[in-house]
This record gives sequence, structure tokens and C-alpha cells, in this order.
Amino acid sequence: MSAEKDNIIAFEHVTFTYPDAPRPAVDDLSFAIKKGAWTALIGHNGSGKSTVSKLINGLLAPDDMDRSKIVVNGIKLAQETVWDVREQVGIVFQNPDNQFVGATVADDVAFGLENRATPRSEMVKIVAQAVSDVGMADYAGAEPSNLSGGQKQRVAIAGILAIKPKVIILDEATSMLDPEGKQQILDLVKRIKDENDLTVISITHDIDEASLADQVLVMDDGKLIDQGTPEHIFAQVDLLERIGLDIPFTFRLKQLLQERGIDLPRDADKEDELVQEICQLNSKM
Amino acid sequence: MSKIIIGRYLPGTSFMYKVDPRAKMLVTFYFILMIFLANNWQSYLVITVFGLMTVVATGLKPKVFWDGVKPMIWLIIFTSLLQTFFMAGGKIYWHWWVFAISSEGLINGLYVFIRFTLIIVVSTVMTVTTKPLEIADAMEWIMTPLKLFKVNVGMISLVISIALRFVPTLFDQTMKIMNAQRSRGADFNDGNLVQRAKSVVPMLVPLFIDSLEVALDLSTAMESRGYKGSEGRSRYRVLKWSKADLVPLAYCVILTALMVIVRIH
Amino acid sequence: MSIKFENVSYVYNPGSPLESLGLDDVNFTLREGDFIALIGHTGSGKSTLMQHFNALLKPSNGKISIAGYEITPETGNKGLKELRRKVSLVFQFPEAQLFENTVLSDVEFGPKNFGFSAEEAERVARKWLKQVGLPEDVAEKSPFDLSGGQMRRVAIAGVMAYEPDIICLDEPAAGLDPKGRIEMMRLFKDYQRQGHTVILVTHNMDDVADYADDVLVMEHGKLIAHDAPQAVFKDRDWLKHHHLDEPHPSRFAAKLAASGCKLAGNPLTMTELADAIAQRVKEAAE
Repeated sequence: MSAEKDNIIAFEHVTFTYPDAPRPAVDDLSFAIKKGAWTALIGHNGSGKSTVSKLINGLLAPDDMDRSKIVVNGIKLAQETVWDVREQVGIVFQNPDNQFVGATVADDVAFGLENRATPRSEMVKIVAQAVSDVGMADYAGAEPSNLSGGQKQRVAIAGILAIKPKVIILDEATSMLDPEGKQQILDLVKRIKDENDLTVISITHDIDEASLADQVLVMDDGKLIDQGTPEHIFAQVDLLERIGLDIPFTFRLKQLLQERGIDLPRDADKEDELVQEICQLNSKM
Repeated sequence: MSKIIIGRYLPGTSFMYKVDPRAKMLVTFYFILMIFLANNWQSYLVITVFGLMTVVATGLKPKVFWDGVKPMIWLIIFTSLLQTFFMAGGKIYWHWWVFAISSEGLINGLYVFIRFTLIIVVSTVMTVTTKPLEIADAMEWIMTPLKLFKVNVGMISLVISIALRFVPTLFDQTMKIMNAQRSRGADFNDGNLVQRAKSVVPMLVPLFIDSLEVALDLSTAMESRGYKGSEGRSRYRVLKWSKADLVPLAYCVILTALMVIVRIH
Repeated sequence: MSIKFENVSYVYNPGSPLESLGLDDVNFTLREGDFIALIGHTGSGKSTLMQHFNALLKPSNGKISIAGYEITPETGNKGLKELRRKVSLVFQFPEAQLFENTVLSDVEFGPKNFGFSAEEAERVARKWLKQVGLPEDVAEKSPFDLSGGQMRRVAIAGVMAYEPDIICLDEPAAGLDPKGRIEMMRLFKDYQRQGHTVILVTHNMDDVADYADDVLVMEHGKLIAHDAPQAVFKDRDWLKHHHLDEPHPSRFAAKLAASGCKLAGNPLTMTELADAIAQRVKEAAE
């Protein structure tokens, strides 16, 4: 029973089919996400991973509401509870431009608060705090057309912080950013996760982003085909190739060194470990 | 990242930028009304001086206002000439068929010229010193009484504000698509009318598809951020009257007083 | 023949309050037939520079010599079509330019504009759809029924179909999965090997290391470096100062060096890194 209590999100037998689609995008899916964890959801395009995020906050509803069960922070998702669930979950979407509603940074951050009829005096304080939390205080009055993609995604995160949810979902949120923008977003999410006691779900096909996770869920054809620590998943080179993910640097290097007659321990997965192993090899001989 | 000017707003810091957009909009309407009350040279003098005062208060170069008048200049001249030639009265200097140049005709032509130019100049004063978004806010405020007639003012203003916000985005996208098609040998400027109409298809189809995508993404994002319709929302951006707005009020009072005096006179 | 920029500057919105300098006195000469990487941060002037290659933008100052053409501030719009047949650009997310009813007619659009006959246009279109790795049956489909990755390939085929001498691609692999990215990059490398010039605008330093012969580095509208990849990635402090990434293998080599295991040279690619480590281990054994 206690295990169930630790879970902030639970899917049980969830099936969802898009209108006119021959097959379900999400097929009898069950999984649970622990409170406070960072979970990466990976899979190739069309594996159903982005559908999952829309199911979590009720933007899409399962085919059969009676058979499927989605629970978010103890609330069972249903017609009547969908707005309560959306209080718990904030989503950063892929395209930085297409989720920027407000005319300026501050206006955009306020959008979620306006929808919840927060009194203006309170709103001003919350917006100022959220904007400065994501390092955009100098740009509060800036218009979106003068911001970079990474800055717009920071604003999207500020808009989510403002409504104080329990879960933040990064739905391919870094895939349209340059490397610098991507790194800034990931650093920011790491920081706010701890500060605000958030649960993070990142839907991604970026190996660096997935490696930040405590747990990785692998989806294919609407089904969960594997789950485990990043180390467990990344060691399966065939699996990664099948779902279209980069082979991590360390695995590629070990493979190339093996071809050159240098065998390194299988468990040296992290780059620093590999550096140690190679240096030891050097001094030993 | 390209920077474009929507409408004709020019960034600035002069007094005119500190005046509440609602005040600017009301004064502009009131001023235009006053222009039509002018009926003698004294009143035209007063209204012209007051018009120029607003220009000075913007702190912008005269060229900005000339740029506003320029596209209309032939229309203004044409209308003034019509007045001049068709109005006979007072001393007649020249006469042919239905045309005549008379002293009253000349004066009336000049009045029409001043009227027209002033209307354009004061509207330019407002549009160059007020962001489109502020104009939309001011319009919403002016439309507030329409709520009594069940007009959904909040929704209209959200629609306008989102539309304005996406103008630069769509402009960028248009430029990008045009450049991509130009690279593929498309020509948007050459050929006869039919060819030109056909040549915009490679630009319009992608733009239409892109806009649909933006709209879908945006509605998903809005819903996930708790948007349930325009009812029961609070507002973050509010217009606030300030002391600076007493100036336009005083301006209107003095203008009215002077106009009354010179008209009676 | 070479591609030459002499004192090229470009001013956005001249004479308006939003006036800004897009390119600032840029000078370089590129060898035709090279694989050239154009790198720099967002807003560094990369896209402004790129649009000068086929006169989508004309310089405010200076002179450009490319594919036998000269572009100066006075260059008119006549004859630009000929230039664009020889020098073509592929913008970021080029799938946004698709508009025809079928994939085939979309790919034929460029060739037809450049005067290919109907049969010839169809022939090259089918050829390049195959070259970019699309199955034959997509030709008759609507481009809007394809997946994002397939749409990208159609758009790229639409430019390669008329085989421009010089092709400039802005992040052509962005958003593709690793397999798709490698396939794309190989396609461009092959195109270069067939005697064309490829200019790649990218943030991916591993791609620069793996494919480029020559690198242009932009910052604030200025060209701050122009050299072979080995030379550009040599000075770690300089890269740091300009907030530029290193290729992953050379970052790893730096970590090794910091742990007291310095490799010979500065390996930029995976193969170079593996070779250098193997060599080092072998030397240590002897």
C-alpha cells in the first residue's frame, strides 16, 4: 500500500486511439512514477510517448474510461476532475513560439494565473518571483519576437512555476533549441526540481537529457518495452538503435577500443569512470 | 531574429509615451471633433497650434509625421483643389465653364488641406507613441459598455492580443518560406497578373499549414495552462491613470475654451 | 574558381531606429569543392551570411564573387535565377516549404523553375527521392501525409534535384533521429565528393569534426576564425572565451590529459580518439 502512496502518477491499462487511426497510439499501458523522481520517457517518433503527456493532464481521454485508470497525485482523472489534475501538472511543449500566449514575458507568465482568477495584487508578486526564478527578470517586459528559443522555454517554465504544480513534463522541450539553450533549460529544471520539490517527466530522444533521469521508460508501438536506470537501458545498444536513440559516447568508445584490442570493464559507463580505467591501463603497463 | 515594426510604433521616452493610451485615444477623437468645429481663420490657427503641440510632445523628428502624411498627399491635394475650383464666392479671380478660382474657394481649399493634414498628423502622434497592444487595451476599455449588450469583450481583447503577438512570428515565417521558394527559383515579382497570382501559391499554402499548426499547438498549450474560456478570468495587465493624464485633460479644456471664444468672436 | 567575400557588410533596417549591423566587414576565400562548416551562436550572423550566398540579401557594402557571379550593393534582380540554380540554400526545418499535392511535383518545382523539361524534371525528381532514402511509392503521396523525417527528406530532395554547384544547408539534421542524421550527413558528404561545394551551418561540433575541411566561425556579425577544423579546435582557451563547444572526443581527451594521461595530438573524431588511446596504451606496454 505504501508503494502506491509514493507514486504521483499511475497508469493502469490505458489505451488511446486517435480518430481514424488503425492502431492505438497507447496500447494497454500501465506504469507508475514515484513522487520526486526524474523520469525519462523515450522512444522513436510515433511510439506514443507524446500521447502519454496529453493523457496525464486530460488533454486526451482514454478510449474506455471505465477500463483505463489514470491517477495523478491521488486524483483519479475523470471529466469532473480534469481541471484539478491540471493544477498538478505543467507541460513545457516542443515549439517555444507556439506556447507563448502573452504579449510580453510577464503577461505570458501571468496567463495561467489569470485563468485561475488570481487577484491582481497577488499575481504581480507571483509573476515577479517566477520570472526571476528562471533568470528572466531583466526581460519581464520583453516581447517574444525579441527572445531566443531557450529564453522562451524559460518563460514557459516560469509560467508553470507560477501555478505551483507537483509535476512538470518536458515534452521534447529542448529539441528545437541550440546546445547552449538546451543546457540552460536542463540546468534550470534540475535546480527548480529540488527547490520546488517537483516530479519531472522528460519525454525526449536526447541521450544527454535522458541520462539525467533516475528512471527511464522505453516505449515502442504504444507499449512499454523496458524500464530501468539509465545505465541499464543505455547498455542495450540494440534497443537504443531500434528506438532511434544515440549510443552513449562511452559505449561507442569502448566498442572502438575493443576493435583495437583494448578491453575495458563492462560497468565503466560514466565518462569519468572510463577516464580512470584508461589511465590505469596506461600506468599498469 | 528579425525586428519589425508592427503598425507604426516607434520606441521612445518622451512625455507622449507616458500618457495613458486611453487618454491618447480619447483626446485624438476629441481633437478630430474639434477640427470640424473650426469655421474661421482664428479657430484654424488655434487648432493648428494645438495640433503642433502634440507633435512637439512626442519628441520625434518631423520626418516621422511627414512619412505619415506622404502616402495621402495626393488625395489631400486633390480634395483641396476640388474645394478651390468648385467653391465660388467673394472675389472671383478666374472663371471657366463650371470652374472658378475665388477668394472663398482659395480659403476653403486651404481649410480642407489643414483639416486633412491635422487628422493624419494627430492619428500619427497616437500610433507612433502607442504600442498596438496598448491601443487594443484602450479599445477594450472603450468597448466596456458593450458588455451590457452581451458582447464578450474579454474574448475579443484576448483574440486581438494573441493576433498582435503572432504578427512578427508569421512575418518571420513568411520571409523564411519566400526565401526558401526563391532559392528554388520561384519568382514573386515577375510576369503578368495571372502568373503573379499563381506564384503566391508556393508561399500561401505553407503559410496556411504553418498557421494551422500554430493554432493547434497554441490551443493545446492554453488548455493545459488552465484556459476554460474568457469567463471568470482575472487580469494581469491593467491600465492605470496617472498624474501625467491630467495634462491631456487640461489640454482638452483649454482647447475647448479657446475654440468657443474664437467662434463667438 | 573560389567563393570570395571582400569587405562585406550588411545593415538591417538602414535609417530606421531599429538599424543594426548584420555583417561587419567580412573577408574570406573558400575553395570550391570543399565541405565547409559555418559555426557560431544564434544571432552571430550565420543566417545573414548564408543568405548572401545566393543574393537573397545583397551586401550593403563590399563585393561577393561566387559561381562566376559578382554581387555588390548595386546588383539588380536580373540574372539572379541563374545564380540560384548554381547556388542554393536549404533553410532550417525545410519541410515548411512543401506545398504541392504530391511529393513528386513538389520535388519537380525547383527543376521546372530552372527550365528543366517535364520529363527531365520528373527524372531528376525520382532520382533524388531515391538518393535521399525515400521508398519509391512516396512519390505519388501528399507530402503532408508523411512523417516529419520523411518530409525533411522530400524538402532536401527538392533542392538537390537541380544539382546546384554550391549547396548551403542550415542545420539540416536538426530533430532527426541519430540514424537519420548520419544518413543525411553521408548524403551531403557524397554530394561534395561528386565535385560540389557543401556549406553546412551547424551547432554540432562532432559533425564539424567528422565532415568539414574548412571552418568559418562567426560572432556578432564578424568572422572571428577561418581555418581547418584541427586548427580551429586547437586552442581550448580561445574556444572557451567565445563560448564554443569542442567535439566530444577532444573534450574526452582533455579529461584524460587532466588525469595525467595525455594523448598525442588533439583527436577530434571518435576514430582519431580510439587510435590515439590505442597507440598510447601500446607505447606504455613497450
